[in-house]
Amino acid sequence: MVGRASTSGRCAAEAGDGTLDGMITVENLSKRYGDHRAVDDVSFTCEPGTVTGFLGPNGAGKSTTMRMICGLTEPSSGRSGVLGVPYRTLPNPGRHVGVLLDAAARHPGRSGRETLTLAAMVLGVERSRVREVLDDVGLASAAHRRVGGYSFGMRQRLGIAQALLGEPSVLILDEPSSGLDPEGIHRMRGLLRDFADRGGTVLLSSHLLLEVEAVADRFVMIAHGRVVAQGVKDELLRGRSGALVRAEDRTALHRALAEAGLTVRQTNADGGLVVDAGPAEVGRAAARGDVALVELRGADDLGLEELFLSLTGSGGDPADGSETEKEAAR
Amino acid sequence: MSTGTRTGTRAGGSRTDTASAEAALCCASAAPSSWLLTLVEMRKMTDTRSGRWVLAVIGLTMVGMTCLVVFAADPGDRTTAELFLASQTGLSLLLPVVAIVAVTAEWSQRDGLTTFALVPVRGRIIRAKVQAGLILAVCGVALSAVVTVGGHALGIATGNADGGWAIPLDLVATRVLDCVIAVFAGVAFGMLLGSPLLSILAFYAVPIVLGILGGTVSALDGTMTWIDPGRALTPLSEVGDVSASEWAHMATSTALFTVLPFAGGAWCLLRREVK
Repeated sequence: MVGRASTSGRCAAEAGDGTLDGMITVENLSKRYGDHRAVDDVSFTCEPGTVTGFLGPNGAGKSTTMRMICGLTEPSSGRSGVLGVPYRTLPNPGRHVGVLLDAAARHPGRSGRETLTLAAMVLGVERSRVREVLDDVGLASAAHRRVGGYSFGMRQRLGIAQALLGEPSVLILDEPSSGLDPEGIHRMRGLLRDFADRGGTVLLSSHLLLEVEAVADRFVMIAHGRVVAQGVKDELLRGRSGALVRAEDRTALHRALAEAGLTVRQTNADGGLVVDAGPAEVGRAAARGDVALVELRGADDLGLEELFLSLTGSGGDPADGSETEKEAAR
Repeated sequence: MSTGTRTGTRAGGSRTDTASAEAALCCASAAPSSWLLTLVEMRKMTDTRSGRWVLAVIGLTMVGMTCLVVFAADPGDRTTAELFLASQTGLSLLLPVVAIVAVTAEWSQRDGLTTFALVPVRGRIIRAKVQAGLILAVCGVALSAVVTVGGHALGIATGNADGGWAIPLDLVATRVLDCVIAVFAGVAFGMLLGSPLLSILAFYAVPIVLGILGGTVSALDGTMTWIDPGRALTPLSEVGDVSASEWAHMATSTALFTVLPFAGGAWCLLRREVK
């Protein structure tokens, strides 16, 4: 474990490679609720000094995966580790791992300061840390107020403050930027980037790519409980050769593509089709089928956003959608 | 810990490596002590507005009931023993509520997401909550003793006192025992049922239902002396010795309505998904 994160300076001891090497390791993790597979064979690793964006639409299994990493949900199979050991075996987890799973999950009857003071007692950190982290997230002036009166954004800040309280080397944050205003989002990006640049490890979930694209080094994309893609941005976009094509007569385009033996990978909401072939091939197929095209370009132009949407199928089930389109084309 | 296929080649001596990783983490930070967790749980019972209200009501009923006995009870009944018992009316009634809310807030207020993330060994939290409840219970009984002494002084000053200053020690002991059972029962019902409302309802409905059953079905009356906690625990709130058969009733009823739910509740809590 080279370059072990040591924002706290406390974890500097060389630990050697455990079976769960990596700051956060998830191995074949699955969770079933009856017949429903909420998380299905998910594996990934987060390394020191990186921010990993854990992306997927609502209900894809992000939160369940994170709860399993933190020992709050028992996995049906598979395992996970933080700093080389299962989370539950960490003697004082908050000193190593800052966790924010749901900002709304806080007793409304306590003040922000009281909430953090309780956590500081368990962590065994100085009470002055409470003041520091409240300052860090810009919540110092509201610290005496009851959490019940906080806006969702303020609760997010409080949650982030609590995650930072124990000076951890790993952060696990579920949707931390939802509810934050633009200034808050900007501030948090800076905070997370800084944290990772000092050697920390961040796992950060979101259902909005744009929220994490600016800060994440790596991405793990999940849909219907399964990992559909993971890697750094360039890796993800590489090998995505293909073409985006759009025609006025969509049925005719489908027919022309089918006759040419080309596969439609994805149908976008605007009627554009992503085809598993180069633009030239698609153009020839369209010409043979006498289809007038409105748009045709190489998939190099397809950004992470479109990859994300095509893989995770935000806004409806893409598989079903394209199947229906294919049926209609026949 | 089985060696994962993906990392298997890299981690030859997995067992020792994991052990050394754990050792390094232990050096970096020790687990919070049991006493510290108890302190935290006690603070959680008392640092919210609702928590303080419940404690305030317990304190107010102590003073109120004591004054009531001093000024309204029949001559001869204004002893320290009666004052002591009367002052604990609110304590007996609300201590289980404090315990129930302390447990169920982890789910109803979703505190558990923080609590169990910081202390993943959930048994430690159960223990801390019980210990915190027991400390509150003992403090409550001690406070009621102080209020009793105050009440007796007030009685002497106003000519409304009977007997001496001493509170019978065996009565103090039985009252402490009653409060201990109440704390365990509260924690047990909270763990078993999860929701504060459901737990409190069930906790108070059980003796009422059993009492009505015993009262209306005469064949069940004898059985109920063994089962109904409302009846079986009454000797703990009465002046005078507790007989052997009364201890037996108490033990049976407590096993059924405290020990058993506690075991079941702990089993549930240790396995329950924290959301």
